[in-house]
Amino acid sequence: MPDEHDARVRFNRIVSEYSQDVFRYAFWLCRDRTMAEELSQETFLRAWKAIDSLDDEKAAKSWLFTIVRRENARQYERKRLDMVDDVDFERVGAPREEYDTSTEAFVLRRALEALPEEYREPLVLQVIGGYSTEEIAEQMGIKAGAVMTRLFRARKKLREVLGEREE
Amino acid sequence: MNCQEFEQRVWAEPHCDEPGFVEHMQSCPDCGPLAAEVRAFDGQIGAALRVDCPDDLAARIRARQVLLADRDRESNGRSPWQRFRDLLLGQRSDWVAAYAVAATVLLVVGVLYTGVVDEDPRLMPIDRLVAEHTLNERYLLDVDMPMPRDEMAEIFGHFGAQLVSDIDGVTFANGCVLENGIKGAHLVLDTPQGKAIVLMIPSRRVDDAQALRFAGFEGRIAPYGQGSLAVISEQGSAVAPAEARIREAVRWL
Repeated sequence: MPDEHDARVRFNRIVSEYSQDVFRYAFWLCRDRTMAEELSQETFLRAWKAIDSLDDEKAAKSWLFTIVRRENARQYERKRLDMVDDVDFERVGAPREEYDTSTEAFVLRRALEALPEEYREPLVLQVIGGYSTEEIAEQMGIKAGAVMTRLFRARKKLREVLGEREE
Repeated sequence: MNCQEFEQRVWAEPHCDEPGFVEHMQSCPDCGPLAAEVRAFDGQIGAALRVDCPDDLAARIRARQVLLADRDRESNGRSPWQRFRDLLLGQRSDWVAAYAVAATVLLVVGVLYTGVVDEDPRLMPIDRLVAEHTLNERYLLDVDMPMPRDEMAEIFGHFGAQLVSDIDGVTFANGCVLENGIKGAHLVLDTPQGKAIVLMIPSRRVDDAQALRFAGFEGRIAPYGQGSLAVISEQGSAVAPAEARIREAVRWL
């Protein structure tokens, strides 16, 4: 069994590398900043408990996203049903350089939030996670063809929303 | 790939790098500009998805992991050495395991004797232990996790110290295990001069106060009760106020 010190060094490396992506993915799953943080914390605690089972650190991101997804399904989906289904995007991010505060970005975030979950999730996995279609299919337990269709429709719907605004 | 197939693909995978896709994009006068437009739009989607992550999230994740690991250690109730000893002496029926452990001991002793492992942490000078622990846990400086007084009192109670008054500005407190297995307490105090790390090490007492200086940190370790008190901060400016607060609030029984 690897010693605890080595495991912690490894864990800390994974936290540094992936905590932001995990938070973003969690946010777009639950659409609530506080819950996304809880979900991220819970994900990493579960990852710590199972750190010995992570053979290849290159697979860490995919491993963490799988945990986020399961934890969200296990703990938070029910909770979310009780919440007011309206995301306060003013609170999504503090105004910093990397955060786009333009009206267009605001409209796009609203449109992303309004996308049906079945369309939003593969898009988030592709854009934030950098996953291939096959990997998304594996994560979501659907066929690659279905992922392609959902990605196509997701972008088209978003484009329509922005198009309407521009007209 | 024809134009219809290309259009289907580009909206699903704008950055597709398959040869057929790339070839069509480069040669078709209609689809090339479409790809550029969809890719630009994808950049907008990426920016919209990039919500800001809390600044201290990573630090808080690590802090919770530290607390969890300590709780697990406590709930196991025995140190790694004690469990090792249990395995060696307490399970006499399991001779295979005992032989394996004995062989491991011989191997470790042999390795140490031949100098392959350069240092046994139990023999490390205390200033180096403090430095290693501080650097390994420096992220705790970014955490803000105030602790109720009764829980803090419990931490000190574990090694025979008593909290006699509130300690101002504690942003983190926990029992800790130094790199040599010695238990102590790890606190972070916020002072007007900045944050200071406090390590209370009950079972190793330095004879005299010593200055500490490593990797941009400065501080001192001094005898305190039955053990030692190390206080460290960046540039050392917060050391004196933090040490005063601890000496005022914590007494040895």
